[in-house]
Amino acid sequence: MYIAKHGLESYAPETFGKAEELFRMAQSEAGKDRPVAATHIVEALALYDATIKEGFGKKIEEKKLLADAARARADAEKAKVAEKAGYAAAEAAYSDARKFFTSSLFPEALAGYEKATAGFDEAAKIAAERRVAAEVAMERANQAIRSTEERLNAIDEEISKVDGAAQ
Amino acid sequence: MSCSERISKRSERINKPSVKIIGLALLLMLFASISVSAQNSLFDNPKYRRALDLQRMSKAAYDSGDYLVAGTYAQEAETLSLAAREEAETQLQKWIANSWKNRAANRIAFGEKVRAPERYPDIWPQAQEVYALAQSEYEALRFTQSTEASKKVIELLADIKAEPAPVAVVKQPEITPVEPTPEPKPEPEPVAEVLPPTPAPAPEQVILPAYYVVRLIESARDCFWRIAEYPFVYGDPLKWPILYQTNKDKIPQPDNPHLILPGMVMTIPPLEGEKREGTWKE
Repeated sequence: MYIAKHGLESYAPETFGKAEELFRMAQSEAGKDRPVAATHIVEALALYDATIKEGFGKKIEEKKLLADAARARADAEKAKVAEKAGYAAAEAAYSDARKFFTSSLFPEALAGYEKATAGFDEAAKIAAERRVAAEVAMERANQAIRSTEERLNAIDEEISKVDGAAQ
Repeated sequence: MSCSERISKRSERINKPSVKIIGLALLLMLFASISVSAQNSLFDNPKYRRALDLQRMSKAAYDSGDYLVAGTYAQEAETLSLAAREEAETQLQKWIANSWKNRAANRIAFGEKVRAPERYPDIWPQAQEVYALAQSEYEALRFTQSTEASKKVIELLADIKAEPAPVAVVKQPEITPVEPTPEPKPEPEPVAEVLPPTPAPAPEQVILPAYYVVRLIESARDCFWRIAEYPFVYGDPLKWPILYQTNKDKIPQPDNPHLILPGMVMTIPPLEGEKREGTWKE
């Protein structure tokens, strides 16, 4: 139930398969040979535990890679500066996920990496929007300054061809 | 002999270090004055300079990823740049208005000199009135209106003619010349403004000077522009290039018409066959 709830069976299919087989054998031996059934149960439980560890390990690694990719996208958008608060929150979630993993708090680690991924992606999106807005404003400013410079040159030329000669 | 040659020969003759130093200092001051005046005052506009600063700051903020700040700086730069342009436009209008006002004032001065109030009683009071309007509009910073009024003054006084007057011309070097009173030729046309030319025939009996010795006048330094504007030269500052081309070999830097030195003898070539003799003296 716990394995299914966290979707771990696909991350450790062989271990999980053996555990399931031993569990079925234990069920079939339960009415015939109880000591054999008990042995199968014990072995099945050990394999279920192994499935949980292996499954969480692989799934968390997968989520960590996703979080790393999201962080790279955010860094590419300079979100650490452009969207400081959102990026910092994502970084904190990532750091917490690592701590949870080392403490074997796997579900919390998974949630932490997922939160970090979402946070980095959001920070990257906001940073990209702000970058585009800044580029538009900068282009407008550049055009205005260019245009002003041209006009100042023209006015200055008009004036200086008289005033310049008069110096 | 060019001014620089004249200066160096004089220095050799005197051969006194202190005189050399003074001469050098004067030259440096002259160059400094020229370079300062050559600076572009329009580009010294604080708003324009601040806009450039903000543009640089915006780029730096953008490069660091601080896009919000980059956008804010850019918007300020745009606003200030446009404000600087508006100020420059006003400055231009002011300059044009001042130019026309001076032309109108010159025309009135000429009118007074040739007794226009008695000879042209029908137009003189009106011209005076319109000139007062040009001045008041200028003071009120309504430069366009001032320009229009000044143009009206010139238009009203366009037909004023010089009185026939004997003019003495001094031949170089013995005779002392007297400044002739020709009717001033049309003033320079300000930029972006159009004034129909009002050619004035030069009095036939006037003999104009063929040479002019550059003077040192503190309030209004001699230059090609100003010399061309003198009534006994061309009465038209826009004709300064003719003087420059004729005399460029005499100036310290032939490619720099802004630098002429006191004492230089400038040749005034005739423009329309007018007779020219001698050197003009005050």
